[in-house]
Amino acid sequence: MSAVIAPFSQIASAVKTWSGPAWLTDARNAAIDRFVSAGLPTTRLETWRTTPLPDLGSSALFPGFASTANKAKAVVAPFTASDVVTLVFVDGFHSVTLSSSEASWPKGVRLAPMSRLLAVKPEEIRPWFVGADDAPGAMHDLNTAAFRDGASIVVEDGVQVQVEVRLIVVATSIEQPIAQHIRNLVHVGRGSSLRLMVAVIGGPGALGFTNDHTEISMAERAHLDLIRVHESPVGVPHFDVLRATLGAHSVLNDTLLQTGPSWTRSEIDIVLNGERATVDLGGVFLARGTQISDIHTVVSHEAPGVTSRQNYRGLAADEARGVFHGQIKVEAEARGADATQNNKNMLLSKRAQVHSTPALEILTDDVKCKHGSATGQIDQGQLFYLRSRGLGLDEATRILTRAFAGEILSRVSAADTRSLVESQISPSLDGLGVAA
Amino acid sequence: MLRITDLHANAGDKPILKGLTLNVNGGEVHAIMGPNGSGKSTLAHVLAGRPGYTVTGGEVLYKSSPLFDLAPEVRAREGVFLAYQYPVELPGVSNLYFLRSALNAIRKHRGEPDIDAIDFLAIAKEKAKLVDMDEALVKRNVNEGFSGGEKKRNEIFQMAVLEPSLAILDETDSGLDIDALRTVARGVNKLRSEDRAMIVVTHYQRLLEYIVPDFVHVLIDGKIALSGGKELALELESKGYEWLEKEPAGAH
Repeated sequence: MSAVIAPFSQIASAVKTWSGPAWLTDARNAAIDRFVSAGLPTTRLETWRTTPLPDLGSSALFPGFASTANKAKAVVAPFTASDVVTLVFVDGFHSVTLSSSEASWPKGVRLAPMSRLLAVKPEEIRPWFVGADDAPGAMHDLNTAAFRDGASIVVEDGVQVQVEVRLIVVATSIEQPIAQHIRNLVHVGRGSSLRLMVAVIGGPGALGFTNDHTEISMAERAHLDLIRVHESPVGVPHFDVLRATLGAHSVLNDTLLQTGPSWTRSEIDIVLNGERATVDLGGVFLARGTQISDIHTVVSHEAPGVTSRQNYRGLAADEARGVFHGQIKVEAEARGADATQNNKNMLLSKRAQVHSTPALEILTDDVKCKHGSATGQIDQGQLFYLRSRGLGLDEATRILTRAFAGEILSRVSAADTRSLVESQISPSLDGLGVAA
Repeated sequence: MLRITDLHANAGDKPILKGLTLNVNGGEVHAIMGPNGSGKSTLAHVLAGRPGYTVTGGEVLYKSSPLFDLAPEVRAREGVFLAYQYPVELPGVSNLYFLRSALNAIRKHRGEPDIDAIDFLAIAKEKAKLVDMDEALVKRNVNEGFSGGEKKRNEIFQMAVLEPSLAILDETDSGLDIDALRTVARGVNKLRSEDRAMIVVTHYQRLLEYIVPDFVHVLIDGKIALSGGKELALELESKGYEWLEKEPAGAH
């Protein structure tokens, strides 16, 4: 059986015509050849077993174009503030008018939209593509081949970035379904710190597909707080990758709020390859209607004394499916590694389902590793307690589901950022109902 | 206020209440005593509308209307309050938010405007004093990590905020040391009023030294076996319940 790439066939042929430096053209061509021969992922692949791709339609997805920013303005507005720096991407391309002016960009940080780097200084991003390990999988290859924009962020050594940087990826196209392929490359220098938000959102009625890929490298003692909001509109399925390598004593906190109504899959691939590096991952996924919301993590412990924490929660209503797959790998050299993983899920209807799978691969005895997974209905005792105080079934449910997700939300320590993400995901949380 | 006539109810499939009759008027405090398994807590839960209990016979009129026609939340909005024997922990739900939502649900039912967070905080602080509840506890998540005594105090604090017409206190004394018992009882006493009735369910007479009832009823095998004034509690303290269980109901 030949591999299926149908909705992306137009993009696949377009890629071959793009100009660029030879090393990038080589990387793109190799990636698109792999993608075309492998085809889109199917449920026959072990890691896609419970996550069939959505129906992307028979018509071709367009490779994106520099759209008018007007439609995006209203959806982006809540993310802008005087004390944050935003880079906005609309339908796959950087929008100068919606992004913060360059004058406001923080010192000690080299910030640039990928489209501009590709045009004028492609050498800046060469190290990310030459001699680097390729992430496995067709969707990653597609991103490598087809990305046109994204953000490049380089925090120089010893810089504590005071402002929060926000990357806002917005789908707005209603007439033509657009596939936007975004590649963000982030380097945090020695002893530096950064707070970064990546939000994937869209306008009402938008159509298309978003393939968003963020790669992070952290030098010694670097610190990165990452907040990710996945609120893609229902007509824009969203595939997302976060890959990070952590140097010695570096700290990465990632909080993922995967609450939007579209088919969404997030892959998180963390490599702890510096001594005593720490990663703290937390997230919540929310699935309703016939939606699939999937979080796949792989945390590789490859150096002595490294620590990882994973705390993921899922809410599934109606006939939706949630997926959590969490892999912990501990290599022989990761002596004294300390890894924990926790996944709790709440089912709000009898037809909702959650597939929760921990996977452990441990090659040393000198390790502390704990994992736990629990999936259950909403607590009837708690529900009755609320009702017996006068709260209706809907409001009581809302309070309990919010509290369940709230533990993840409370990881966001900056008050302004927390109230922003809270208001962004509120409609999604409030839209959940309990059904028999 | 409350008129219970020949009430029969099951917990699961098991008949527990077997013809209970009781009248409670505004301003009165009724103590329900009885041995374990006699149906005291079932009565409290059935009145509040807890799932898992089935009414199989009889009638309960609350403010002259059938109580069992109302969903649990509507009973609460109409002024029925159950102080739980085992208060439930609500991780991630702040006491203030929870109680303000509850109070506003009750107010909305009465056609009254919402109370905002700032005004509510003032009310909560004032009511917390009634039960000597630490302000820190008022702001914490509902019952999460509270000691047994703090949980019971929180129940009475909620009662003070919600100002019910009919308060049912289910074994509020269980698990309390004497100091906590005195504090909780003092709070309850401050909430006694002409237009508020209370049903105090307890196994021991001890609580009734501090919350002095107008009437004491002994529940044996799902029925009121004996009713009397506050002195009946003392008699039960010295004689226990066995002498009542041995004699057929109706002999007194």
